[in-house]
Amino acid sequence: MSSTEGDAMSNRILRTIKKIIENDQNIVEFDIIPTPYNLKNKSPVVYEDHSIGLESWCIKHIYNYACSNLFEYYDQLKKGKLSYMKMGEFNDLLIGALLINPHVTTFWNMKRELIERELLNVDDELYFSKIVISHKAKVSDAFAYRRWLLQRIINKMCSMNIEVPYTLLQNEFSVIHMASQKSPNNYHSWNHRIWCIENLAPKRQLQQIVYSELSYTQEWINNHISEHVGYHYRQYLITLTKKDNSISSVYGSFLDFVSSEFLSSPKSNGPIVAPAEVLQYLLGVPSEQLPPEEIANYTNYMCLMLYDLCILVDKLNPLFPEHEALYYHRRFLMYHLLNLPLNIHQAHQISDNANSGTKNSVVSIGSDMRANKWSKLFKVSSNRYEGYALCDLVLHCDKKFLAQSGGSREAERYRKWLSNVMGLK
Amino acid sequence: MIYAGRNKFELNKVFAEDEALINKKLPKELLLRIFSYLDVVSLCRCAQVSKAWNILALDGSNWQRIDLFDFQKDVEGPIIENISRRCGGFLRQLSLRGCQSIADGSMKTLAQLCPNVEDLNLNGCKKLTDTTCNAISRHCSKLQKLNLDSCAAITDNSLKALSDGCPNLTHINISWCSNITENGVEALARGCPRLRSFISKGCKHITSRAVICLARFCHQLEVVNLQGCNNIRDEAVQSLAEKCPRLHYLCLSGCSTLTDASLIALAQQCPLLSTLEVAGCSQFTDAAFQALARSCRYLEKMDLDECVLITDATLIHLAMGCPRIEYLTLSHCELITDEGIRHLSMSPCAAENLTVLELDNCPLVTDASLEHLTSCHNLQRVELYDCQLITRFGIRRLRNHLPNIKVHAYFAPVTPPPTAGGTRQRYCRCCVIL
Repeated sequence: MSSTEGDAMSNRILRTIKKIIENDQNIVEFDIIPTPYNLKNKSPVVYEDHSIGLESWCIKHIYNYACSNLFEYYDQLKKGKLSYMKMGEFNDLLIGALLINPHVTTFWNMKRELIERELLNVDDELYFSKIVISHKAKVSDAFAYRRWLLQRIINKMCSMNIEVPYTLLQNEFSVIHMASQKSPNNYHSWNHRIWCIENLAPKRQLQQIVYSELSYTQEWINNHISEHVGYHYRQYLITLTKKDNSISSVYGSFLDFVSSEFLSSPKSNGPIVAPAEVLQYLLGVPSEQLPPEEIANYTNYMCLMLYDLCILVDKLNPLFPEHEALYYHRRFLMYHLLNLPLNIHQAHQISDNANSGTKNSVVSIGSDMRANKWSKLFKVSSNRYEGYALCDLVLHCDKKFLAQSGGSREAERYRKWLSNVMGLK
Repeated sequence: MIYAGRNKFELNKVFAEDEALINKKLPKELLLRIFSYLDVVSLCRCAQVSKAWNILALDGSNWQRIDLFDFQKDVEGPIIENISRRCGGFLRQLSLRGCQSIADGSMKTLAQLCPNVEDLNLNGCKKLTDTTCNAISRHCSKLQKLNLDSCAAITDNSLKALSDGCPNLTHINISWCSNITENGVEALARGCPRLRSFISKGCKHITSRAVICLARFCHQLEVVNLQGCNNIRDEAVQSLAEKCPRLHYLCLSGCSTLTDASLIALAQQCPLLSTLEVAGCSQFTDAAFQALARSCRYLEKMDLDECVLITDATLIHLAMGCPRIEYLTLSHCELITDEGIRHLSMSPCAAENLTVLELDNCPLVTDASLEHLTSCHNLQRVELYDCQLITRFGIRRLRNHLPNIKVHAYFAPVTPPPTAGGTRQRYCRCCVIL
């Protein structure tokens, strides 16, 4: 067959795919079906149960056809000479090219151009990029394109003073969940999740969203022990609870856990439950010194990490021994838990000095920094952590843990890390 | 006087001062005549040569027919206003196809300043509303052709205004103006009895009553396109057939409620029919096409996509009755077999006229059909997508008989085998010598 007939065929196949995508708003998946030869005169587009398959024998013809025509169309578009009909065809070509090879940023940029000229609909494009992600879950370009589209939506909503609807975030989460399921250690999708939390989540609902995300990650980690992405995202959420001011109340379930697990002493009547008291007991910080909005932040931060240390890591470790990712999460928790009291105290000394005089404060910051540097250069003795109830608690837990896990390879490495980096014996 | 009068004095003065030889030798009437053959771009270039040429090139008489499709992105309101000022009464024909930035204001100016416009193409000027049509109807009584394709904001009021002000209208296109209903069409039909072409693709609110009115008042209708107007019933097509004997183009694609009664009425009363598009009219049967083939001998183009009930009988009747068929679409007609194709290929139309035959998704067609088609010497394109009994071998044989034919099927084009000379030699030259 001559190349023009191959072109006619490719054109028809592309149109078929476009029509399917236009008519079915619930497509689950696109994939390429390995078929080295086509013996029958049969359409290579397979469409069943809301999934599209494309037989592989036609891939090279379609891709070739799309690539060789795209740039010509693009030139015409730039000169403003592309007619309506051709614009539709241009989009067909882009759909085909991107479904087959989504790693070409140039093609995504052509799509952006079409959006900016208002020739494509933002919602349709969100849907299309979802189909691309269903084919190849680790396409950073597709996620970048989604972010670009979402940013457009956000800007439009802002200019009209409308709040970004929650459904948008839910939709993103479902796409991300699909992408994360499809491909292990998919940092592209999890980073997109972080972006969504930062940009799409309405500030008023952030508290609930973070809470549901925490349980989502716990579930995820239970099922994907050795995928570090899940831990990474959870660590992001944990730090978010410390930093973000809009999380202004305490997550009761974590606090209850901590107080019932660690703080019930026979001397006092029942466990301590008030956040300020917990902080005072564990960190030795008098609650009057902390601004009230920070109490919740610190409480959440600390309780979450304690919870992770005792429930997540300790429970999972015997079930799934020797998983590096789990040990790394433990390192994160240990490091931040042990440094928490020091950091708080330091922050407060600085603020005290700032009250007394500006010159003084500069000096004290300088000396603090130097102390920090020294502490990194030379191993600090464990007495640095002594005197705080939290540190005692954590170290006690850790000792128990190490005794249980015995002399496995990962445990040995972890022990070394404790002694070399953290300066513990 | 050819050039605009207000410039005459000015022009004489400018010409008197002009030193260029060409302007001394050639009288300005001749120059103007030469300019009248130039296109828009060349005229604009000439206008930059000298003052004299500027006046001549921008004279309204050169700007009677303007098509701005190539500049659609750049055309905005002020351009239209300038054009209407320049051209004035000279303007006969203006195409603003795809010029999306055009709004009502500038079209109002145009209508006021160019009352003699006869042919106006506003395809895809999406911002236009009824205001434009009101202005046109008030000022442009000579309008004959109006294209409002995809001007989605247009409503019945526009058609009412046009029916009042443009009685000479012969061609109208209101495709994809989804607000238009039977009331607008009825008004239009009453006011514009000379209508010859009525195109309303995708106007879902157009009903049988609208078409019946159209047929009652506009007996000269020749071209009617009702693609996707799925509220049309048989009585509409029947009255159209009865009242408009000159009909030669009819598209009823997507009007899926129509039955054989429509086609039989057409067969009885419209012998001049040359194009019939009935894609998706799945209730039509062999009986109707038999009647049609008997009386409409001038049929050239037929689109029978998804007329799922038709069988080989239809093809046999078409082969006997319609010797002029050039373009035949039988996509998704799943009952068609090799026998039908055999009759078609033996008919007089096949030998001389048949150029395009679309058989995609006809599952019963086999290589035998292709063998029959070898006798169609004029055949240029055959569509065979998804005919799963067709093989590569059959296609190759057809191509051997008709070397220029385009056969479209889902077979990967064979890439030419890599030439033998291109393969790398196993030894380098020095090794061979050694």
